[in-house]
Amino acid sequence: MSRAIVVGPYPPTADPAGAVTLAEVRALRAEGLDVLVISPEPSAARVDACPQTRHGARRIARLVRGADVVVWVGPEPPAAVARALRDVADVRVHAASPRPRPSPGIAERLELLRAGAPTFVRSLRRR
Amino acid sequence: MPVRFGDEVIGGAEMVLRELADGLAERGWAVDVLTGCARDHFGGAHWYEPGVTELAHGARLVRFPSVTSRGRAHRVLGNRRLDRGDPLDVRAAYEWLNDDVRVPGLFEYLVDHGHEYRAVVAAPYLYWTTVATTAAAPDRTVLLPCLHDEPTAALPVYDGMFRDARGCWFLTEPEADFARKRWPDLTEHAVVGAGVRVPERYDPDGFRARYGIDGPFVLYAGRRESGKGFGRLVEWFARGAARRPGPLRLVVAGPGPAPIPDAAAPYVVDVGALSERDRDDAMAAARALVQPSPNESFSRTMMEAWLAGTFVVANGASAVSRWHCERSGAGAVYADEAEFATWMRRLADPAWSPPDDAGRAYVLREYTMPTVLDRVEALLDQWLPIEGVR
Repeated sequence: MSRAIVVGPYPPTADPAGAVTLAEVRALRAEGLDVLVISPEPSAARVDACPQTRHGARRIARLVRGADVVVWVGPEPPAAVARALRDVADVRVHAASPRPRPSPGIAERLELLRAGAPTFVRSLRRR
Repeated sequence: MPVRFGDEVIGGAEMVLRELADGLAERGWAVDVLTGCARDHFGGAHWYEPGVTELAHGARLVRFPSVTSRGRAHRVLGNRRLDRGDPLDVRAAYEWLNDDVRVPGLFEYLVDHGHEYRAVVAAPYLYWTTVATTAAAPDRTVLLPCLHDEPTAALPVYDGMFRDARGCWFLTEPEADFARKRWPDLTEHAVVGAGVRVPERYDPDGFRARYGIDGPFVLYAGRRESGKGFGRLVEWFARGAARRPGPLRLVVAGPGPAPIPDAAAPYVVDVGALSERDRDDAMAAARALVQPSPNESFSRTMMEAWLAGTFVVANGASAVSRWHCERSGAGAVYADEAEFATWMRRLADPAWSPPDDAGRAYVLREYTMPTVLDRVEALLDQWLPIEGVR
């Protein structure tokens, strides 16, 4: 079975590009492809990895290697992903502007930390 | 299509869905219950095994793996903000929603197979699975939101769902009124109610004997949580009983520990979780059922009390409880502690008796399982006719 990777915002999301990603997934699954969806944030996708972070881009690059089809919904892929995409035979890009995503301020970071966010423990320590 | 499903799962919406699934299966419908593996929404995403099992009444239970984040930080933080009355912006609201128990496999299944179902009934509105179901198969989704006026209902994450779903079934008219005000572009909708099992018999004396309860009592049945008005009920009852000592006691039934302060202990009897039979008998033995919850979308316990011929005293802050009391003529509502105390004194008076059998007649007229299933089938025929569906 051919393997497809679809990267983009995915429901439930406020991002209108989520509808584009879902339509692509429907079409690929209807064709009988094995589809893995990667969304930048937690969603109905099996994997979430943000292309704008180094860790996320590396993870996406690893996952797209060996895929027969990659559908990219969003702003231009970062360099690490773009390199991996060179080896994919069928790459379809739907350019979409990234939704402005303000990073949380100090007060919100501290609130999230108190609420139990392990990722912010790391980011605060690095500083 | 509930987020959780199983014998240990206690929740009004899950109960309504289960009875609907069983009832439709008994009427010959092919019914799949699609759900995750979580037992509750606090964690424990892998309580049940994924897979397919047959249910007793003929429906098929299909479980998909549930996932949660490690920290649940966005969920916890969002809940804290909502409790404080702070709004969540769109980004924070979606982070809160997507930090719920998620079931990606269920979403994929509905993307592939949603169109093969006549309808996909999703409940309650609050959970990720309901929002995701509507996104995956909007033209087949019928929401059973079990909605009431609470901070989460104001979140923007539900706007698309209430607009795009094929239809929406409400349990009561006040619930529908609230939804129409909250979402002016609300999808096609109707009030279907919820079916209630009618016990064959009651044994009030047996309940008293089994639990060692002699005198008159008022009953609370349900989750013993502050959101259900439990704490305030215990506090008000104990204060009234201390002020005017009498034989009337408050019997509280439900799962989990009951937070009863020491000062209230002499007036409150905790019988814990009751079997179906004991619950029926307790309803029949009680002088009245007290429904203190300000947030109800249906209130099954009120129906159970009325079926047993028992009066209901309810918190008037709940539009649904007030609506039932007015329509049935078999209940009263209180607005504050003074009115609550007046009702408790009245109920303690041996000369007082409930008006008549109006409550039982109301439930038998509106909320038996066959009545509700007839409404559901009529709406399925109207909204989702059979042509073109396998």
